[in-house]
Amino acid sequence: MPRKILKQTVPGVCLFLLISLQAQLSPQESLHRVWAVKDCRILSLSGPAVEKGSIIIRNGLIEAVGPNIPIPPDAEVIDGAKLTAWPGFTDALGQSLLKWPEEKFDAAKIYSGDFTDKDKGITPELKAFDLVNLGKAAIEKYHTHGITAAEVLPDKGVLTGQASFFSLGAPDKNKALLLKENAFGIGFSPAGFLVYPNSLMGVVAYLRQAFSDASYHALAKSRWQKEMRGSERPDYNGQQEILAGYAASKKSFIFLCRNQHDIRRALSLADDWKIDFFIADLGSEASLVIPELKKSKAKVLCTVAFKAPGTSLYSQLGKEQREKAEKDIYPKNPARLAEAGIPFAFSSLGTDDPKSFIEGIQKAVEAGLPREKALDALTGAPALFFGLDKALGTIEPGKIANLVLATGDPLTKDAKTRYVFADGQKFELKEAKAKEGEKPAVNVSGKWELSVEGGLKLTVEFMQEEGALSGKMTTPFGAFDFTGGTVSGKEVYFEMNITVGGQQLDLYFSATVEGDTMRGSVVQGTQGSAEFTGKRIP
Amino acid sequence: MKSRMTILLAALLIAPAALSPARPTAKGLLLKNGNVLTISGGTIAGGDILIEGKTIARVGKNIAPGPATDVIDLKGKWVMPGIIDSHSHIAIEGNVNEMGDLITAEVDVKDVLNPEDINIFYALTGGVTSIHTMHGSANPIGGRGIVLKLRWGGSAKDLIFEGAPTTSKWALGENPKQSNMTGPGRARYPKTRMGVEAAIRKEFEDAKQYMREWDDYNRKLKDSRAGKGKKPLPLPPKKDYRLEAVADILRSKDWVRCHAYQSEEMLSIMRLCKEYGVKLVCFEHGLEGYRIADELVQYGVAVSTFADSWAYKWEAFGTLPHSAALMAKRGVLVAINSDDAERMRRLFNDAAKTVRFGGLTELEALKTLTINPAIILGIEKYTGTIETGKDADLAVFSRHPLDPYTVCEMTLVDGKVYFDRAKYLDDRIKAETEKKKKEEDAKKAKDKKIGAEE
Amino acid sequence: MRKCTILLIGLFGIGLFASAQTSPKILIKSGTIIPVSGPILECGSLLVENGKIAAMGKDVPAADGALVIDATGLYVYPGFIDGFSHFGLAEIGAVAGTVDVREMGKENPEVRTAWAINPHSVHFGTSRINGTTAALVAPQGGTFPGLTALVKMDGWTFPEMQVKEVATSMINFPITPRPPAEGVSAQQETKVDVTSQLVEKIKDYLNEARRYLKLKKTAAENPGLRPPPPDPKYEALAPVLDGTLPVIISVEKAKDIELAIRFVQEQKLKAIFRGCAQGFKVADKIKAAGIPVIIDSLYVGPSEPEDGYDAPYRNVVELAKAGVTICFSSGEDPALGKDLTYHAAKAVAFGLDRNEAIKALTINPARIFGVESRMGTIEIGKDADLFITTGDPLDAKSDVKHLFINGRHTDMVNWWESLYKKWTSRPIK
Repeated sequence: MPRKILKQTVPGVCLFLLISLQAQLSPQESLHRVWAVKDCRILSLSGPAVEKGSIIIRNGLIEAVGPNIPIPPDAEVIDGAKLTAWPGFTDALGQSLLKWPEEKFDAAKIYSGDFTDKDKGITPELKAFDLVNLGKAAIEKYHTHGITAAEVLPDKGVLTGQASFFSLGAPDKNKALLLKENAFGIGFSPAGFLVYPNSLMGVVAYLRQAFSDASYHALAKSRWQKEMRGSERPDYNGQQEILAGYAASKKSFIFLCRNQHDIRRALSLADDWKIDFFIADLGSEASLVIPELKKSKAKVLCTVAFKAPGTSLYSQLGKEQREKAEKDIYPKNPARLAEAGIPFAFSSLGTDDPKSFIEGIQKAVEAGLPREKALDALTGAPALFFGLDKALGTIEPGKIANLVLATGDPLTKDAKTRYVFADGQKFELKEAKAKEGEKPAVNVSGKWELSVEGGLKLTVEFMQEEGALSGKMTTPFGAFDFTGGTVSGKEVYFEMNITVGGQQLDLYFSATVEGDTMRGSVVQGTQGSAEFTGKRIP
Repeated sequence: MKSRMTILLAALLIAPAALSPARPTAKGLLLKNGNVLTISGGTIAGGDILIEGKTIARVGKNIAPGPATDVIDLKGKWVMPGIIDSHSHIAIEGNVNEMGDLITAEVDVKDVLNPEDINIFYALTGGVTSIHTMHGSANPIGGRGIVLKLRWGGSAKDLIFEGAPTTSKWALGENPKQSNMTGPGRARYPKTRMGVEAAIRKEFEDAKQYMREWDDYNRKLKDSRAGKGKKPLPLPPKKDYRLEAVADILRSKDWVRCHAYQSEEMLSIMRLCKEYGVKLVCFEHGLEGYRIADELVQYGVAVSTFADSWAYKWEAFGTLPHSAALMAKRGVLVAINSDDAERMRRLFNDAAKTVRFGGLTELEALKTLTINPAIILGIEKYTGTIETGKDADLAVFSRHPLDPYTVCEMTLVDGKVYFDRAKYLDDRIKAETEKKKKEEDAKKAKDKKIGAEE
Repeated sequence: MRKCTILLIGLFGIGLFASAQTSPKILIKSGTIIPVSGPILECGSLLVENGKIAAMGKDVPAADGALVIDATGLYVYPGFIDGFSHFGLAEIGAVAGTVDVREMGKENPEVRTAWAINPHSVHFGTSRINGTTAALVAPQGGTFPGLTALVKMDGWTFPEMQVKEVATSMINFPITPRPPAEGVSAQQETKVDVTSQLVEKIKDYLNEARRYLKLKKTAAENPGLRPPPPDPKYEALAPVLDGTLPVIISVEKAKDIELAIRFVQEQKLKAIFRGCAQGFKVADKIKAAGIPVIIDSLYVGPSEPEDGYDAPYRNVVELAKAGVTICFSSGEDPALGKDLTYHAAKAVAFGLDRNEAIKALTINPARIFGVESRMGTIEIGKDADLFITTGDPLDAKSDVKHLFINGRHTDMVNWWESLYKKWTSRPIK
């Protein structure tokens, strides 16, 4: 499929990391993998800023950094005039680098009730390492926004899976891997099928029982291994092995908390199980739980989508109140945590493309988070959280060469990335010309997965020609074609007429597209509407 | 049954922390010159209630306020004990039913309380001060419920009614049978009323076995500690939260609240509960309870029912709006509940119906909303009447609560005002005026701009 | 007097076995009569004859063979008219075999509810006990649900109950999507105005109907031309399009109400609005357009959170204040038909003038459905639809002692009463 150049507008208010367009980055393989960035401004984050200095990169590591360093003769020199260097950012928790396997949901299951553990959201064996896609296109987007490392976790369901930490320097995951299966994800979202657990309270009860079972299993197993004579041996149970394994080796658990109440539940469970844990603050409400977080010495992974969770009062007070809260209150969450001294790093969950991630962080800065704290939450803090502070987080000799070379200062509007080093590989950013205003502004051709509120999942294959949209939608009740849709600007609209159980349903979909995601609502005739999000399936 | 309810709070632009009551907590609060319906001690015309902290300190006439006491002149308005809704599903995050399994006794509503649920505020606008919120009726044994005080603006912990017994929600009849579920789906056992009871019995037997295994283990543990018995120690039985919860029911620890409609299934479950020593406290809805009123009295089980909902399903057909009164007149302890967030706001209108349908006196009608549900929930020591020493949970009405034109004007929980209609209206007018002014200013600015451009 | 008393008891005895009493002459005396059309008549009397009100005043002479009812200390009101219901179309909601409310498909403008009403539905008997003597029975669902019927709440067969076999047509206006449901995280709302698109579709459908009717007319005038194939749906829309048959338009939000007003004026329809939960925001516009409003059941919360917790009641008050003609309805659950008066009471509690409330239960719905010449007030010559009650009919504690429909004494014994009688007779153990 030919590459299309996407036009992205630059709203006056929003502070971007760079004005862009589609980056065309290519790793430059220098024969010796040695570079010298000469005479640039250096924000090492390990000491005061250096106005003019050099950085020597060799074999993936920073060999030397500072003013007046000799330039090795075998180094390829980059002129650092007008450029500033700072450590590459770490996305402390994300899932957009995962390529989820395409699965067709077997509607017959609804009748037979043969739901698998996967359907229930119980997938402890699911590994980020197995699903990660570090292809050129994928990591390009990250580099464009200065992100050079990421903790990646499958985040769906209740026992969501196992995370791994990657440095985004190569498409080969074996090369990019830093930590394999270093954290385990726990979510509070029931899958919604008529199978246990299907309610939130069921999920909580399920988690309690799962941990109890896991520790019991470990006890029974060690008993049998120690004294085989006379002991009943326990059945093998993969799930219990995994959970017990993480707890025993003091690896971390990451609780995916949708709102402040989930955070309290997570703290209570963590206290019961005596485990090491992180709180992924998906609802940006951690600042409402500060005393409890302090008491538990919790480490928080802040998200920056800043959408009011459904449980919050603002969501229940109506659109005006909710939008006001999303503008004025939720973006203050990281600033409040910083003020209270709660350690946190930034996670891209909820803002699945790097651009929205960085924009969200900008919003947090505008809302009062000191810029240095924001920077730390993108560099030093995640390194510390994952035990990688000796390898990442600052520009210091011996650390991994993950850094950004740009004009301007980090997290400001006028910053423009020129080069990115990831794992000591150079990536150069070429600017492409912006295309003149055309409508439509997006092209949604291709496959998308839509998640409709209430748990319904649909796949759509769009075919867009100029502003005309047609395609085919696959639902649990069959596949249906549609035509006559429109795309104008970023707005997508199309209608569908489907027959289910003899009843005709008219559905009207409208959505706003942002990158590879869309958000919108579907109206069913006179009966009401439901919200949905869409994600492009590569 | 959940209604979609949303609301404009008193002040549009206030952050959540400031959503607490309109009045600051002074040392004391005197409500004077009201018609006080004490429920337990008659009605006091032109009566006063003195509140100290969260307790009712005195009830009478011409009570003098202390030095640090706020005074509210009720000007003849009617005060009754805060209404207690003993069957509700609000303030629960997520699905109210755990529909995946048949018996889900381990599931606990306390784990998923949502103190931000706006329906809590709605309930306050209808004079409700305490509720019993619980699992739905999808399973023969659904899970644990909890009693809450509607301390709006607090955290989940703040809502919990300390000292209230824990409850276990059961359900019989069409709902656990899933008789009325339309749409695709696997058939779930049981599909008959006898199957429902059989399922409960089986779980009880499993739990008894579980309890025996633990007793056995504990005995062996004690023996080995005392030096007797063989080594090595046996492995303890695996902890099963579900069977633990059922064991609690068998130990009479949880108060059982059983959703049922048909008279005979109620009789049958009463027999089962007696057999296993289960503390069956109340039938929910019990729309055919009027047919077995004497049996209910003899057994000592109460009924928490609707004023007049009926005919929405077959098992709700053989009933009448007189059923609450019919049962009450024969000695059954009857409470009237809402089971619905919207209805909770007008329980006082519902109680009035029992006067016409079945001939309850006005006092008996008010009891179904106050002391009766308090007894059913085991909180009658703290609330349910206006008496010295009880919590200051009060509802103030513009007219007698059973008057068709009455409006709830103020609601207090633990002596704090959580709803004040006068202030609410005031704030609304202010907000609307401000909004209008903003719109006019914006329009003026726009017109000016256009004018300047021309 | 004694003779009359014995006659009374005897007649009540027969009443237990009959759905309604045939008595050509009834004299109601010494009651407080509220005719609605004029001042209250203290200690007044009424003569009912041949189904109509024959005489009314302070001293109405006793007629021979008349059944005499002593209404001392009691109140006599015109029978209440329920503005929207499903009486006779649904018995038990969960049992599909008993439900005939919603036909499949979106366009059913020709479906006649009248043919499906079950006069012996238990809900007629239990719903009239608070004074409802007539009701609009409507279908529901889709965009064009069908044709409503206006019926009396008692009769041996449908034709006996019928006031209007076809009272109105219906159009369900689309609802602008609500704010996100509780428990769901709030997400972006879209900018495309789906509501207007759906209204365009309704207009297209009406234009199709017009085209059909025009073709039909042209073919009739030109014998050589072939008429279009018969289409009962378009035929059913003919009286709607020429304004002779009123159409009930269900609409909720302020924006949609304004859209609906423009739609009605553009399409030149004779409209009645139903619901109008946010009507108070555009009350003047509704009044200016001269469109009456059927208030739906008030057992609801506000349409949008900003409207306030008391919005449903405040809405009624504001509409009435602006001069909009309103009437009450018990809504979509026939099991709650008797609650018609409770909804009215709630509106009064929050500020509606009580006399306006009584009008909204009597003469207003009569006018709205075009039957004010025979119903809605106690006046000589009108149908003898009335009831006698112990107190304020809007008070749940009041008891309706007698109900008359078409001048016949209606049996007040119903499903509930029969259960009550049976179970109060169970001996105490």
